[in-house]
Amino acid sequence: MYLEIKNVKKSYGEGGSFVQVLKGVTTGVERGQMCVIQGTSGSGKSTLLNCIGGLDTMDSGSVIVDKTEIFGMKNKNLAEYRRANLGFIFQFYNLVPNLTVKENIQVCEYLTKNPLNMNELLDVLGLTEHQNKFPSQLSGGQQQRCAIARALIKNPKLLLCDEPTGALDSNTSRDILMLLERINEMYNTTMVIVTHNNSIKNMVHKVIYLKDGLVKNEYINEIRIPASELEDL
Amino acid sequence: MKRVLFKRYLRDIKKNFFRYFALFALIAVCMFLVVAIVDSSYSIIEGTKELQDEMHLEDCQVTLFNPFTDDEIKAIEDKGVTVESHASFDYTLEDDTVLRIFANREKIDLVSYDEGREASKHGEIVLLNRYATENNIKVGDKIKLGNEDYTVVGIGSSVDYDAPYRKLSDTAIDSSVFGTAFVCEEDYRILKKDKKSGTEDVTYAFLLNDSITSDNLKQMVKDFEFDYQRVEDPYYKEMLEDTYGKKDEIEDGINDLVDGVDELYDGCVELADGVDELKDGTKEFKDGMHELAQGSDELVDGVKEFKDGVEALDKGAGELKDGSGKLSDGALSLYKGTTSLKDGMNLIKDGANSLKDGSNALSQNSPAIKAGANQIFNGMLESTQNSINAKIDEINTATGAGISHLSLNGDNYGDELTKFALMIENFGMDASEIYAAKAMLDGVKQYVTGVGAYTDGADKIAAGAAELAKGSESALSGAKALESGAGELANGMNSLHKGVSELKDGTVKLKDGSRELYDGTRELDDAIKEASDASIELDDGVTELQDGTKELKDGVKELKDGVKDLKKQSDDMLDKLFSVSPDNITQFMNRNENIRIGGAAGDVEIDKTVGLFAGVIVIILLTYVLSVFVIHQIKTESSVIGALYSLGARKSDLVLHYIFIPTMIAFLGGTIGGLAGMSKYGCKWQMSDCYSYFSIPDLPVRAPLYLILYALVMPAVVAAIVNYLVINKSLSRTALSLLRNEQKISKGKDIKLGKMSFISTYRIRQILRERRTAITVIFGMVISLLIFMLGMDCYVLCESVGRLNSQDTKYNYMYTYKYPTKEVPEGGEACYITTLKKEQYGYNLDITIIGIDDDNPYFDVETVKGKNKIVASDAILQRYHANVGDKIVFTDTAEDIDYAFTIEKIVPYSVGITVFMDIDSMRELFGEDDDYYNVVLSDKKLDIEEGRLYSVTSKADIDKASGIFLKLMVPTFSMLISMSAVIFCIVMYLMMSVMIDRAKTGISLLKILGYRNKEVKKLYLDGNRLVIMIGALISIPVAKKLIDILFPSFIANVACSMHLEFTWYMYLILFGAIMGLYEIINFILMGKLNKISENEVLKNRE
Repeated sequence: MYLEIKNVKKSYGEGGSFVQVLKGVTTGVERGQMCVIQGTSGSGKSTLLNCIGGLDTMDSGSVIVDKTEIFGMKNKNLAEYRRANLGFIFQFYNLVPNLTVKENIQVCEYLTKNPLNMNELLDVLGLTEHQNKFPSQLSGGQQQRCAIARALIKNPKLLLCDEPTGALDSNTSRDILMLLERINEMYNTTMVIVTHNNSIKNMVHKVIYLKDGLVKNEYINEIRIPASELEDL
Repeated sequence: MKRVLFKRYLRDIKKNFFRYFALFALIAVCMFLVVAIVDSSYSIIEGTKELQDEMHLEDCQVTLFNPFTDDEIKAIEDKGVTVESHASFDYTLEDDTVLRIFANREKIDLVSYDEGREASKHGEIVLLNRYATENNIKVGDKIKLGNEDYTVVGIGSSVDYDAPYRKLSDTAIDSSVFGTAFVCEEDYRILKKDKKSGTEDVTYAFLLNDSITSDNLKQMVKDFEFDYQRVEDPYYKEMLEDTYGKKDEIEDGINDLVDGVDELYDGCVELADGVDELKDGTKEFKDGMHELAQGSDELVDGVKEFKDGVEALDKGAGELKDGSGKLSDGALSLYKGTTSLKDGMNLIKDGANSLKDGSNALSQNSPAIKAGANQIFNGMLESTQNSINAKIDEINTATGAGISHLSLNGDNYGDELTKFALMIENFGMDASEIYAAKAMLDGVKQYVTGVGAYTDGADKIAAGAAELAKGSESALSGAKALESGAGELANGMNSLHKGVSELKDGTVKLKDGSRELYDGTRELDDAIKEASDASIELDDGVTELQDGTKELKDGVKELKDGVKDLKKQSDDMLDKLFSVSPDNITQFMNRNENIRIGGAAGDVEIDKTVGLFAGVIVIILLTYVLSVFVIHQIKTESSVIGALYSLGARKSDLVLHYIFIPTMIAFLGGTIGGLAGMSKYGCKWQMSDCYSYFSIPDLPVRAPLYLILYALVMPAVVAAIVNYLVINKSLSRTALSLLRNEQKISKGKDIKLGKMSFISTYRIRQILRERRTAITVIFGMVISLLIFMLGMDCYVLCESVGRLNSQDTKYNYMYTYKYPTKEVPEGGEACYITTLKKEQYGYNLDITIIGIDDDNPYFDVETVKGKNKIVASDAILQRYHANVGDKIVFTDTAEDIDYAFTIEKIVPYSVGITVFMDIDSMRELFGEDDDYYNVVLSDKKLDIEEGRLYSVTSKADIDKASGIFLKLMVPTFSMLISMSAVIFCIVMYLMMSVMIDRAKTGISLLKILGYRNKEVKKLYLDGNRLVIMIGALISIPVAKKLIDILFPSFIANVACSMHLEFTWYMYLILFGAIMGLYEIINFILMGKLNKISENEVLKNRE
């Protein structure tokens, strides 16, 4: 198991405002798998993703990524862990506004010793012609592609996507999902995608359904539908 | 990453160009000024130092009455000293300006030529550069001296006159009226004879060449033989001759004084010995009296005990007397009793003998009486028995009872008769006869018994009487013996009583005597105690007398030594004054005591420290302003930073990234400003201030390494530190917190505002939200105001010095004498003025002491009599913080004497730093004659021989000199005030601008909601008015106070009063100006606020 999640608990607040968001989540994702985490609002999807990414700390439990336990890691080590293993894609792309597409990607290129080929990546993501544009000159989809490129340039082993299509229209969403699918195939990148979109679950290898901080259901898709064929995005 | 982000810097700068450029320009301008000031200071200090070496600056100089002889010069040179005559005289030109004429120099204090060359021949002259500039004289021009025109062949300066004060007591340099000039030897001699030339100052300059100390040189010059007859100055000669005639008189007086003091001392020694002996005597007396007092105490106790004993004895004697009296009476009674007893005993004896005889006779009849009585009884018993037996027979017969006959005896008759009586009664018969018989028998029996008792008694009486007789005999003899003893006892007791009575009389007398003795002893004791106390007082008095005598002796010894010294000194003085070798020196000055040397360097010395310090403060402010922008940028880019953290970016990378622009701006600003400051536009421009006051050549600009590093490194380092400290916390947040752009509710933002109008509440919330920016604005205001106050204090000081100097100078002419006449010139008011020194901030400032009469019309000062009592001008209070009642010490640096004064009053007087004394007290203090004076003041021009004078100063000169400060400082304070306004405006604009930037979303939202621009302005901009107002109200007094405290140290070398007070309307104008600038900036920012569109909300939401 590439990603092992065992009995992860996470709470916020104290006293009257105490909320137990994750109540003991146990699950896992194999290397190269695309996995979707679904659930209603407040079910703990994003919290779990943040815990996997080391952006948030767990109260207890264990998250092992490629045999590395991240529970209890200090901030400095977590930063190194993210630097070495992770790529992040957010709903709001969080691009540096006064850097071009290529420069935004380069920001992360320097974080690793073995980056992917910039031009190839631009090409794969369809950004070659936009590489010298600033984020404000791009559409939402193009910006998200840029954000994906920025996340991928490090050649991460694990790509964490938090509502990657949340701010996009249907066609653009499909494009982005196709892209992710392609990357998964090309680079064998393990992906964990948090989404509200019910259609996306059909294109991934594994679906985890969270409810009230617990895994209510999880299953492997026997038959995956290619992203290009997804409907109701 | 760093390389990629570098591109961002350029875009960021481009986007916020005005903001960054303004701060860059401000840093550059500040650094330009700071570096220009510091570098000019350094260049002047180092340049003049180098020039001094190059031009062979004198080590010291001496002014003499008579010029050195050749031998004397040779003697000095033989010591390895270089010596050169720097004789001079003041020449008054037609335009009333004064040139101090020197002959050309070859060895010491050489002239540095700005233009032209040395005056090598007749008719040529070299002028001091400042004088030439002020009088618009150029090389080639001609000036008229005497009857001849002199061609100006050179303009330059000399290192011994870099501060060309005309007099050493001057407080300001006025090169428009005074300068130095150099001519050839021939012309020097010619001009000296001109009537417009003043007295020649015979001055020599020395280079010691490390071969001798200046003190030794001074002593050497003093030791040179001085023939006052050689003195050319007639006034000085007159003074010497006048004084010389008094030599013998003074010598005799001193000799008498010495003799008198010797005698006085001997007398004191004897007195001291006598007092010592007296002391020993009084000590012994005191000890004796002490012992006597102790003995007296014991005596009093003893006498008291004795008196008490005598009283007890007296009491006992009284009791004894009473007892003995009673005993004597008892003994007499006893005697009488024993006599009666004896008589009684005689009678008893006789009675006893008679009794014995009678009883004996009685006893002899007893047997017969006894026998007769028994016969009677027995007879009656028998008769009764017989009668009864008869009766019984009758009864027996009559009754046949058979009753037996009775047998009666003396013992049973009663019972037998009673039984028989009872028996016959039983027979009913009368028994009365029986009972009667029995009664009769009982009577007889009693009679017999009585007779028996009688006879026994008679026998016993007889025996007792015999015994009684015998006993009475013995008793009688005892009574006789007793009578004899009682008689003796009575006699003895009588004698005893008489003795005791006498004893009692004796004890009464003894008691009275003991009481008198006790009273007397107590009186004696009191007297002894008083005597003892008196002996202690006497001893103390003698001790004091002894101490006093010792002190007197020591004092007289000191007096003797003093008089000895006085004699020695007076001998020396008299020798000097009246012999052929008085002291030739009128003034000896080391280079560091000469205010004309190194004046320029001294003036700018403080600029270095202040400039460097001020530079750091201003850079802190400006880099802090930059950090406010950075913080704003970080807040704006919070989610991007969070994303970068998520992707593994390190905090250190981002910290470096964000402090890069401020650091670079500070670095570039510092570098460019610094380089410009070191250029001719900076340093040279700044040095021109110095050139316009001091007489120094055009010095090269130097760039010290520390200043280069300061300019290049300091702003960048300060920027890095300030920005790091400010942004570090913001970048320390977690990736998630940044991603979510979580707003931390800090203290103060959640304040409850109660019931206020919506607008007020909104404004206050906005101020609280932007309090960091508001604080920065106030900080900027304080810094700006500090600079402003510095400029204004310069202005106020210069203006007040000029105005008050003119106001306080009530005379029109001041004549300073070299050789005063005996009589004060008519129309003149005599004063005695001298100058002492007092140190402050490392500078020895001149303190002018003016001795005046109470009726001096030119000073509104009432002096206090007393050698050490002064009335101080308020400058003393301002500069030295000395007040009424305080002691203050001034120093005569030439003679190395300290004078301590008590400040009796403080008066307003603004010319220099001045204190006033009663002229007589001052004369006494400084050892001058009762009629001595050296200055004459007048409201009209007086006819005084010029040769007697050092100088004549007119009120017009003073007014002119007073205005120099103001004229000189105009560029400085104009620059400071402008600079402060620029800093204030830029900081305020930038900070308020960033406030608007940060509030863009809110402003946009308000506009969407329908708020008009004016209303938005009210909410976002007008609240700042309160901040500025409160900030100004706090900052103005704080800045003023701070600068007032620091300002004296900035002009530590200027001896002037320190009137820095602002008028109330100046504060009002300043406050108004601040608010006015705010309103202007507010107006400008209105445009920026109006430009914020409603779309901003959407944009920020991406």
